[in-house]
Amino acid sequence: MRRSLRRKKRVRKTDQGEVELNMAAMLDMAFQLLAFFILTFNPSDVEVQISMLMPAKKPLVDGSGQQSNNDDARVNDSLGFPLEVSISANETGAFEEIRLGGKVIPSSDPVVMLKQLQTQLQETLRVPGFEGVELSVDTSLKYEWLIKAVDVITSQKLPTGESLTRLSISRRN
Amino acid sequence: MSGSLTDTSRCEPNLVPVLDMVFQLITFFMLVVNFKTTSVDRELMLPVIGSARPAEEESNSELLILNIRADGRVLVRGEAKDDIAGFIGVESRGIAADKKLPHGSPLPVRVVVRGDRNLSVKQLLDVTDVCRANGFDKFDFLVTRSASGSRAAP
Repeated sequence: MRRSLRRKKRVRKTDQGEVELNMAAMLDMAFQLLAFFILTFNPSDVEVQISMLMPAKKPLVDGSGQQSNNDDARVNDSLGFPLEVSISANETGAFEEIRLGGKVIPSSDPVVMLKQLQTQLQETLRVPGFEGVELSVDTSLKYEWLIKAVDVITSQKLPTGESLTRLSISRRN
Repeated sequence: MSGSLTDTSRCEPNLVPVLDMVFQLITFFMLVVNFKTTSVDRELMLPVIGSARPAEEESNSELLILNIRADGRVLVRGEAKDDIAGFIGVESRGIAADKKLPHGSPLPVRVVVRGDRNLSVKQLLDVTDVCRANGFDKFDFLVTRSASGSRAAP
């Protein structure tokens, strides 16, 4: 009798003290969420941006006080006193010739041209006054090469310490 | 005999650490998941510039993402836009009306250009000139830092 009473008391205590949650259901749900996120996980390459301010083209007001409708109307786009860079392309769409302010960069290798452009831009932009770059390019140039040149240009600093971000890209005649 | 059988059936593994680990994994995947992929064309091969740096400017401005494929086709939010001039015009008028800007003033929206590396400059300028004529003047050209991955150039 005594033994049976003791057992009964023990069972009661255990029932009151141990409230167990059903972890299996929660784990099922968690694994389903995990499976969803794993299946939809699609890591992409790290993309960075080259930022530019390319103001809109505004034709100059002609003598009659009306806006000029000429196609060759000069660009009045707040570039300040722009530095002219001209790029021509070869048949593969890479650089054939780069001119900085009318001066030809002497090389035939596109990669060497870019390095020389960087060096010469650093020297040229030490002179105060330049605020932007007017880039005229051959339309057959490939975007990949254009963006390399743009990266070199926008990595420059102006004498004021600001980054060079004002850029106008136009078609080369 | 009966007591030993009951003991065997009650042998349960401790699921709490497993659940902890699973929730940590879920948290990781929730943090890295990107639901903006609809506006990004995964077919494009972006130009590779190892020295490219992230922009220093604030990035909380509104974006208009243009994906330009090598053949010059423009995709916006997964849809090909045949009349890009018409689309940009509608977008610019909508933004100007929304922000109550006077006609001809620069729009406070950045145009993000994701161009294929084999795109010609003519095709690119056709798009950017339309954007500039409609009041967009802030441009971000997206590039990748490394040529690794399946979409790398040969």
